[in-house]
Amino acid sequence: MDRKARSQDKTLADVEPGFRGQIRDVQGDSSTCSQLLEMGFTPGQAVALVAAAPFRDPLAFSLRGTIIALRRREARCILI
Amino acid sequence: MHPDLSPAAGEGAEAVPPPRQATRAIALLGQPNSGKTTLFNALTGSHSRTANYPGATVEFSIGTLRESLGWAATVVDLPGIASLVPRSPDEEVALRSLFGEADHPAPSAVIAVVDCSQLSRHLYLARQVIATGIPTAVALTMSDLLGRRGYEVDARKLESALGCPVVVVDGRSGAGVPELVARAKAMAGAATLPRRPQEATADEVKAAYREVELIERSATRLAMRPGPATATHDSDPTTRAIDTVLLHPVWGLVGFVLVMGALFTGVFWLARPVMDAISAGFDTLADSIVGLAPSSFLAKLIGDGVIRGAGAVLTFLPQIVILFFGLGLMEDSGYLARAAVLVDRPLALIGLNGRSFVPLLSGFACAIPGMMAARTIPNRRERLLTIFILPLMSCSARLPVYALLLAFLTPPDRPWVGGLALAAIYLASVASGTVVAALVSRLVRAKGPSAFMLELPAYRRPQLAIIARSTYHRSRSYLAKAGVPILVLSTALWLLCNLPPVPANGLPAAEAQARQLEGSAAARLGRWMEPVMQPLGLDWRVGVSLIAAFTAREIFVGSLAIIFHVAGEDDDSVQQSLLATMARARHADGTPIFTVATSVGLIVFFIFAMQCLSTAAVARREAGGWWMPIAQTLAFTGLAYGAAWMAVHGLRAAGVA
Repeated sequence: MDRKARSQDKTLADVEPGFRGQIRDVQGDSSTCSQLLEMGFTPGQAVALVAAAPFRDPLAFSLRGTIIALRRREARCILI
Repeated sequence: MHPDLSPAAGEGAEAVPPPRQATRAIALLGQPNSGKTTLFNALTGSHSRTANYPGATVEFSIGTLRESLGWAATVVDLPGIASLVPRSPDEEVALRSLFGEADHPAPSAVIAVVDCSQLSRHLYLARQVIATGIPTAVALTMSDLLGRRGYEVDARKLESALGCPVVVVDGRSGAGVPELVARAKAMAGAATLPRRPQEATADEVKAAYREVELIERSATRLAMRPGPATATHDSDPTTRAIDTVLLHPVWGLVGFVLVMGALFTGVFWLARPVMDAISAGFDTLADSIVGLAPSSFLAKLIGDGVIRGAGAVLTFLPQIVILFFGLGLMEDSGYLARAAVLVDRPLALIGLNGRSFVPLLSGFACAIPGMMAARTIPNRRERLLTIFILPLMSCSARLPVYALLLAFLTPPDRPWVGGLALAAIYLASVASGTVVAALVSRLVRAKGPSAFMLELPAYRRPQLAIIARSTYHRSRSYLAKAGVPILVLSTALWLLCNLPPVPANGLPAAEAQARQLEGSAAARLGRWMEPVMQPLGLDWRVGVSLIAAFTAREIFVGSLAIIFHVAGEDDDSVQQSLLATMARARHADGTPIFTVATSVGLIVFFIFAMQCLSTAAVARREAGGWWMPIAQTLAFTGLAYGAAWMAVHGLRAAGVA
């Protein structure tokens, strides 16, 4: 997919360690979505990518004072 | 990681409970790793396990409040939950208890444990609890972590925002604990029967978070201290810096290999001298008891049956203690959660989950705590698959068996052969688990999405005293669980070999012993299964030991010693004389029983076979049906027999006797 088309729906699965930004929205299947929201990945929240494990999966995000690891599949639900 | 073997192994749990009417129950509720268990220890003085791995409290512990706190109440430490809608069996355990659906009454007060270094996430849950109507007091933990960021929390403001008592506590020093108890006591009472809330909609969650963010902003303020302040929503900078290394694609793996290497080196090398000492001690004790009255049946029963049986159990205790201690160290420092992240991807490829790592690692000590730790895996299929392959992990009960057979196989001039072979055995164990998991996950279609969301707690200096105490309690409950059946069985086996008594008729001692065994109940039992043993090149005596090993693997060694009747020479250890007897043991036609081929075959059998009654019982309970242990026994014992047969005949065909 070309980068321009993607910039519109960039997700937390597309960022590099060191990234800092804000969550725009959470989209995806309802079970994953509601779990992510409950963990605190809500729109407007500041979020940072701390580290990516080998194979860039899972990803460790800094959020609301703690660090939470997510698989790429789940990080793809979080638009930034 | 690690769950306790018994639901309540703490000392407080053993205190006699006060009369029922007078007892009030307080429940500790909070997110995983919020400091609940440390607070539980401060409240009860009980040495329940506390850990820095999310989901450590798999079954709740119950204790009674310290007397100095002036309230006769019991305290229940519930497993950590993320919300009031359960996603895994351990969360379900917590919620059943909270809403009075467990076999003890609903708590009369809840202490909601809130980590103030991540106030918004924890207040989100605390407010849900308050909304149920259960009398709730909030305990604020980890204020030192918030202080490091240059902030402090205003408990008064929080109190008026939440409408319930809020007390800053430090579970490690006990500060704030008396005030917390006094305020919880003041509000405890009959709650209107609380109802479980419905799952919140996305908009409700977002709205609830907006509210707690406002509360967070009004209740935290800059502390008067030098140095720059970071934002309240920032995670611990030191932890982030360490994680860029320990989760790094290259350095993370190097670190993982080093940590695991250190753990297993400790298990094998540090334990060795202690194990030898314990083994020698029990031999001396058994010999001196038999020596008191050499012709007495009772002295032989106690010395050769009971004491040598107990020795077989206690000999490998040092390895279990070291493994538990190492796991405790990894949990409490916070590394265990990182290790789970590092292995999530490879485990996902074979149908498991990063959360399977801790159960599987525990399985190297014992499959039972491993199966209980599997409750933290939300996805049912991944949880059952983890439980299914757990018996393939090389548990510590197999070690005495391997130690004996490898000592038999290792040439005295090449001692490294044994070490290498043991490493190969562990590799075979991991490889077989991997292959079986991959096969099963290909055969059984996945249902429902697999997820991996794990909080990585801030790194902390591990509390050695607490880890030491928890290691002690876990080892003790392990012994209590495994030790009694082993003792009973080795005694029963000794009786089987020595009943009915065959008169000696003046024959020399060795011949009288041989006759006794030939005519014993064990021999009758063993001959019956001779046809199964013959293809493996083994006779009925090994067969009886294998049957005994189905109750618990480590019995195999003691059972061989009893059946081959090892009369310890004066300064020989039991193992030395057992090795000598094994070398002498012959089939009826005069060919040796224990050859390289048959010994390797036995090792192969032990690698795969499902042999432990306690494991079968726990597998049934955790999987909710007998189908699990039955499937495990059929699959793994069948695999074990086939693989052992191939090993024996392959080696023979290759010209190895």
